[in-house]
Amino acid sequence: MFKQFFCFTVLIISLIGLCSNSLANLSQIKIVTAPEVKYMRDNEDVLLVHTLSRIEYEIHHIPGSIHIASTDVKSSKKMPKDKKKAIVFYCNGVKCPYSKRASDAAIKMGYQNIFWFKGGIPEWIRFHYKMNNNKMLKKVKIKKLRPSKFQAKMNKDRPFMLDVRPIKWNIEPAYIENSVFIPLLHLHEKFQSIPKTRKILIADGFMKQSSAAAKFLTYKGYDVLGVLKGGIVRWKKEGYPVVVPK
Amino acid sequence: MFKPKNLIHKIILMFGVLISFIIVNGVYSTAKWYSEESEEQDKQLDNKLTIAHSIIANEIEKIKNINLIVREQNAKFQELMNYDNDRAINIILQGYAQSYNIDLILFFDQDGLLTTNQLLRKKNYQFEYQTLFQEQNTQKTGLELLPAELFSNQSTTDDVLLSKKSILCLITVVELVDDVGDDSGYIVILKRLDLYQQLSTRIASLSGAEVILHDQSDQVILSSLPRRLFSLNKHNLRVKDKVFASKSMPVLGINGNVIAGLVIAVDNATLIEQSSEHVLSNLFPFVITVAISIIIFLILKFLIFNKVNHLISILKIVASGDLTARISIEKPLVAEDEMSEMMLNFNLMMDRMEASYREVESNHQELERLNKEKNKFLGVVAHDLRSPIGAISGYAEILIDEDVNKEESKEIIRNVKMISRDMLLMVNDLLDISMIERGQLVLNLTETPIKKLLSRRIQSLHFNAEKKGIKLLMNEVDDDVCLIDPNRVAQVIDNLICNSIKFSPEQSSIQCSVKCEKDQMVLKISDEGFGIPKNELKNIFGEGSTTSTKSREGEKSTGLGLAIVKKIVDAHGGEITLNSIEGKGTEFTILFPQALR
Repeated sequence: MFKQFFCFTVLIISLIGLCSNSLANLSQIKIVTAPEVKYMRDNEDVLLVHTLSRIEYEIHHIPGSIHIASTDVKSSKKMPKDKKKAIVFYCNGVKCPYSKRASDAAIKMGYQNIFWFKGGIPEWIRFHYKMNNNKMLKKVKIKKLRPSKFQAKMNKDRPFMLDVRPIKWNIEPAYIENSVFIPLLHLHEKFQSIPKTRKILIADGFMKQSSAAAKFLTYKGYDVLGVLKGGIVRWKKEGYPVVVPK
Repeated sequence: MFKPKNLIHKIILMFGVLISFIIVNGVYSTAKWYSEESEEQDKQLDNKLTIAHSIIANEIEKIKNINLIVREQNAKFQELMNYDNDRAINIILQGYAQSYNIDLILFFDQDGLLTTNQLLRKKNYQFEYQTLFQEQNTQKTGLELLPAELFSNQSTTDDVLLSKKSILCLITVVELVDDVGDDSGYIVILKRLDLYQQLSTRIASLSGAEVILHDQSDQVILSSLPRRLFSLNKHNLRVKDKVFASKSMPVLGINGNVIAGLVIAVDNATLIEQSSEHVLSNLFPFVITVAISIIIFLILKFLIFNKVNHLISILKIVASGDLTARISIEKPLVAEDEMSEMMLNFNLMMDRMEASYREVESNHQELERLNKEKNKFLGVVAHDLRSPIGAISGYAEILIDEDVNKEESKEIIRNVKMISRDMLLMVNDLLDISMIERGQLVLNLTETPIKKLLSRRIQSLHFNAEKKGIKLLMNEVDDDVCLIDPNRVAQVIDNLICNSIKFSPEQSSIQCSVKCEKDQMVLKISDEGFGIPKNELKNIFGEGSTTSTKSREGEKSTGLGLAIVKKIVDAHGGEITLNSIEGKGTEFTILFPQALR
C-alpha cells in the first residue's frame, strides 16, 4: 500500500517537473517596454539588436544597439555564443513583424533569455529617449508624392522605377509596371546596379521602406524624384494601373 | 560733560533720562512691530505670488499632458497623412479641441504648410506660423504672446480681450514623426490663458489676492480687478482710491525670455488700519507714563523744591543776622506734611532763639547797670567809712601827741566810741544787705503779738525821738497775733521810724499803726517830714538809693535802710507802698500777708 502511494507520488512529481520545464521553454520570449529596455541597456549586460535593414539602422537606431537583420539571425556571427545572454530585439513598432521573427529564430537556436521590444523605435521616440541619428542622412529631405503627382512624374520624366518592398511581402502582390524590385534589405549591396544618370521614383507596399531607400540613394548621389505616398496599396486603391503577377 | 550742581537739576536729568528711555522704548517696539508686520506681509505676498505662478505652471502642465495625449496618436496620424486624409485629421483635432477646451488647434504638414483651419486660410491672414515650431524642440510647451487676430474667428464675447494686440497663450507643439525619424507634421495647440476670465478669478480666489497679468508694454492681458480701477506704470501697479501692496514676478516664455509680468496685489487698507491702531495702543501707555512722570516731577518741584528754596533763602537772611525772618506759612498752626512741619518747627525754633537772645541781651544790660550801681554804692560806702575813720585817727593823734587831761581824753574816747558805734551799725547794715543779696535771708516765722512788738520798738526808739523833740504816737493797734519773723519785722520798724525821725523836723510827730485784717497785717508809719522828691521816688528802695548817705542836719544813716526793708518785706511775700507829698510828709504802708486763720 505504502509502496504504491510512494510510486504514485514520485510519478506525479516527475510529471509536474516535466510540464513546468516545457512551460518554461514556451515562455522564453519576454515582451518589454521602452523604459525597461533603457534600464536594461544602462544597467545590465544586454545585447540590443536592430532587426531591420542595414540602411534603416544607419538612418537611426537606439544607441548601443547592433544590427542583425531578422533573416540573418541564424547565420550571423554577431550573435553571442553564450546562450543565456540577454538579447533584446526591436524594429519599427507594433505592426512591424521582424523583431518577432528574429526573437522566434533566436529561441529556436536555443537562446534562453530573449526579450521582444514590441513597441520598437516609435515607442522609444515617444518617451523622448535619445536616438543615434546619422546626421548626413537626417538632413536629406525626401518628397512624398501622392499617387496623382507620382503618375505625373512617371509620365513626364520617364524615371527609373524602383520597388523596395520586402521579399516575402504577401499583402499586395501587385506592382507598378516596369519597376525593378530590389528589397531594402539588400539595397546597400545592390544599389550600384541602378544607373546613376536616371532619375528615380521609389515605391513600396505601405511606404514603410521607400523613405529610407530614397534617403539612402539621395545620399549616394542619385537623383530621387520622390516616393509614392501610401505605397502600392493606396496606388491600387485609387485605381492606378498595376501589374499583378500570375 | 554736564555736571549738575543743583539737586533739582539732577532730578530733571534723571527724569529726562527716564522719559527718553520710555520714548525710545516705545518707538523701538513700534518700529520693530511694523518691520515684522511688513515682513510678514511680504512673505504672504510671496506665497500668493507663488500660488498664482504655480496655477499658471499647472496650466502649462495641463497642456503638456494634452501634448502627450496627442503624441500617443502619432501612428494614426502617420497613416492618415499617408493617405492625405486631411478631413479625418481635422475631425480628430476638432474632437481634441472640444474635449480639452482648446481654443485653437493647427495642423501643419512636413513642409510647414497649414492644412487645417480653412477659415484662417481663407482670411488670408499673414502670420508666420512656422515661427511657432521653428525651434527643433520636441518639448515646446509654454507661454507665448500671440497676435489677437489669430483668435478672431473664435466666437467670443470677451471683446475686451479682442481689443488687445496680443494675447498670452498656452502653446504646445506636437511633432509627428515618421518611420525614418523625420518630422512629418506638426500639431500646434493654442489655449488662451484668460478664457472668459476664468483663470484670473480662479487665481484670485485661490491666492486671496488680486492678480494682474501684463505684457512688456504694460498692456493688461488679464486681471481680476476691473480695468478702470488701476493703472500700470513701468510694471508698477497704481490703484485709484486705495492702497495696495503689490509684488510682481516675470512670466517666462518658451525660450526662457520674459514675455509678461505677473502682479499680485493685496488691499493694504486693513494693514494700515491695524498698524495705526497698534501704534496707538503701543504708544499710549508710554505717553501716559511720560505725562505721569512729568506731573510727578512738577508735584515734587512745588511740594519740596520750591519750599526748600524758600527755606534756603530764609536761612540766608537769618545767617546774615536778621533773627526776625520767618517762613510764611498759610496755616501756621497745622502741620500738613513733613515740609510744613519742618517749616513750622523752624519758625518755632526761630521764635525761641529770638526770645532767649532778647533775654540775654536785657540781662546783660541789667547786670551792667547793677554793676555800675554797686560801684557807685561802694564809692559812697567807702567815702562814708573814710570820714569816721579819719576822725578816729585824728582823735588818736591828739591822744598821742598832745597833753590831754583825763576829762578831755574821756571826751575824746566817748566821741571815738560814738563814731565807731555808727560805723558798726553801718557795717551791720552792709552785712545784712550782703546776706540778703546772697539769698541767705532765712525767715523764722513765729506767731507774734504785733502790738507788743510795735510798742517795744517805739519804746526803744523813744529816746532818739526825744532828742529831736519828735513825738512817737501809736494809733489803732489791734492786739493780734501774726505769723511773722519778729526780729526782721522789728528791723523794718526800726528802719522806718529811724528814717522818719531822720527826715522829720523838730517838734513833729510820727504816727504808727498796725492792724490785722482778714488775711493780711497792715503796718503804717507816717511822718510830717520833708517828703521825698518825686524824682527819687522810683529808686527809693534801691541800695544806696538815698540820694546820699550824708545825714540831713547831722543825722547818721547808712542809706541802706529802705533797701533792707524792701528785701525783708519781699521775703515775707508782702508789699510796701509809700505815699509822699513833698514838704508835708510821707506815709509808708506795709502789707504782710497772713494765712487765713
